[in-house]
Amino acid sequence: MSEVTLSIEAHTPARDFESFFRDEYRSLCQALLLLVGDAFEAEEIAQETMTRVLERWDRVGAMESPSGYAYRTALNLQRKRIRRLAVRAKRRFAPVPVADVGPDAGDRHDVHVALAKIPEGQRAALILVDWLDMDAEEAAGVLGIKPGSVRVRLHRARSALRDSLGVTS
Amino acid sequence: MSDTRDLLRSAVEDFEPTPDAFERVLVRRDRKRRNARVAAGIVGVAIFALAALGLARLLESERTTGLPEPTQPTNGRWVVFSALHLDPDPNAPQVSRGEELNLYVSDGGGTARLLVGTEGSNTTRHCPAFSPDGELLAWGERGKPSVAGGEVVISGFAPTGQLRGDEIRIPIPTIAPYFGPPCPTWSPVGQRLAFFAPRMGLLLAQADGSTRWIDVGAFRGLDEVSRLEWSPDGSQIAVLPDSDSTPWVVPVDGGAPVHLTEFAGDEQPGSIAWTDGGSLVVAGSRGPLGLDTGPLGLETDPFVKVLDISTGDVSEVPLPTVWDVSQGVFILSAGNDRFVALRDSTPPDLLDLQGHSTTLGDLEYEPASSMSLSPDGKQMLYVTIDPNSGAQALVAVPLDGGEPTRYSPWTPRGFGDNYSTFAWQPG
Repeated sequence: MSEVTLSIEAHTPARDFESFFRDEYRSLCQALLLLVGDAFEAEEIAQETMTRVLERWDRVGAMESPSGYAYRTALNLQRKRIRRLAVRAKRRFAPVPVADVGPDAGDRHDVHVALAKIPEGQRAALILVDWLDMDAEEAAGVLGIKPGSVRVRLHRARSALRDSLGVTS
Repeated sequence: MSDTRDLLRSAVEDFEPTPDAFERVLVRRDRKRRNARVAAGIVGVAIFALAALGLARLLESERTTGLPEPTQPTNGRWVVFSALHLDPDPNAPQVSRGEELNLYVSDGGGTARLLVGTEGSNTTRHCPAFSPDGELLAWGERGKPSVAGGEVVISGFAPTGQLRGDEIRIPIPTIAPYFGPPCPTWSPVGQRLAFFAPRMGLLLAQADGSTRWIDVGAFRGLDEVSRLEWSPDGSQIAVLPDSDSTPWVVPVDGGAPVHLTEFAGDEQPGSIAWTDGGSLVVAGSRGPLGLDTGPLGLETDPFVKVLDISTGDVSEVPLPTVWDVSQGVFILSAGNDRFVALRDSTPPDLLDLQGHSTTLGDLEYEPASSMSLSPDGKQMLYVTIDPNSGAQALVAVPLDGGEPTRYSPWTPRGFGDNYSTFAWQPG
């Protein structure tokens, strides 16, 4: 223990975070929308993700890949959401119904239904690589698996998506 | 790959994020901080009450004739909370639900009424806090997030659940916008409170409105603090900054502040509380932060340490093995050296300083906010979400499994949380 009186320069993490937010938020929301299939849930997770990033911005902002940290946080929050839903199911609560309305809802619905059929791990790999343009090594870092496993998941997810939508490659 | 991208694009190309998403994230961050701090305030009252109970038991064992009966700590009648709206109509337009927080008051029964603020107001009221005797209510106010500055307001609180007497307003200048309202925390003894002004430091205020800065140089560089805890005797304040997560202990009436630099590296303190004897309990998570960690990356191990402020001695509380690989532990209260501890989404535990823990049982409603204890330490107060409708409500759930009490109507869920900070009146 020590007695310390420091003079620390005022800093402006909120401003630095804001530029990060402006650059990343939309992409994060879109990726989460693909992952969870519901705009409300996607933005809810995205806002919580960004809140957690902001709370740790002093350290996250200094990382080599703050966006990687954000996506990893978002995927963890998504996993926790799945666990929460599982707990609720055990308590015999009905899941919250999800409605999709508006123009072109049919097309969106098809893609979301097709994505929902893909196992969550494969879906995450597909979104990280094919939507966010990460390479297998970067996606492996976010998912905490080997790059080879990412490629396997990716191949299976692409096949499943195309089969489900009736698209020939 | 590009083919797949085209397929995916059709599913998201019409999606537009909420226009004010950035401001909503700032508000969400602020609410989380305020919730933690208000919980701390209630905890402070609980600490004091439980300490009194412990003293009562001690006196009972050695009592001689003529000593007065100690008072059993009780809950007051009223709960005050901040919320955006209490409109139960699920079809009400989002815009009608208000953008700023007002204060509401309830004595249970699933209803509440507006206490401070007006519909459509541009002012946010936040962080209600009761004085230890329950007769004064303080809260923070501020205008639009883009405008710097705010006020702490102190008012009398009548037994009928209404404000009484003149309001005392303490202006809080800040040098930057986008900070939330100031969040007052009452001392467990006397009638004074403290709060943190961003990039300025700790301000101490008496109930009559007189103020005094507690000068700590390092605090002038801080944007926010996540926890502010009065010691049981009201002589010190423990402060947990957001930025470096290493706690400070600041003597209120003179003396050098102590920076508890024992916490560094991979230890992230998340909550602090005082023991009855004046030691500081620090709880948090231990584990590297970044992308190079295990399969789930953010999963860490919890820790609880006890610091003797006078000697600097540190001891670690051995935690049950079932707590391993948890996201950390959050201490809600201390009394007779026992703590209500929260970890992940498991039921709360009762933990003593020797590491003995008892799971308090599943809660009637699933928590969806920070949690705090009632003044008597027997109920948990938090926001819950109905899994069927998605509606939110503020509930108090007895730890012994008794009947829950709802302190607000079920209100529809919008983006983010409708309810923010809450305070339970001491009896």
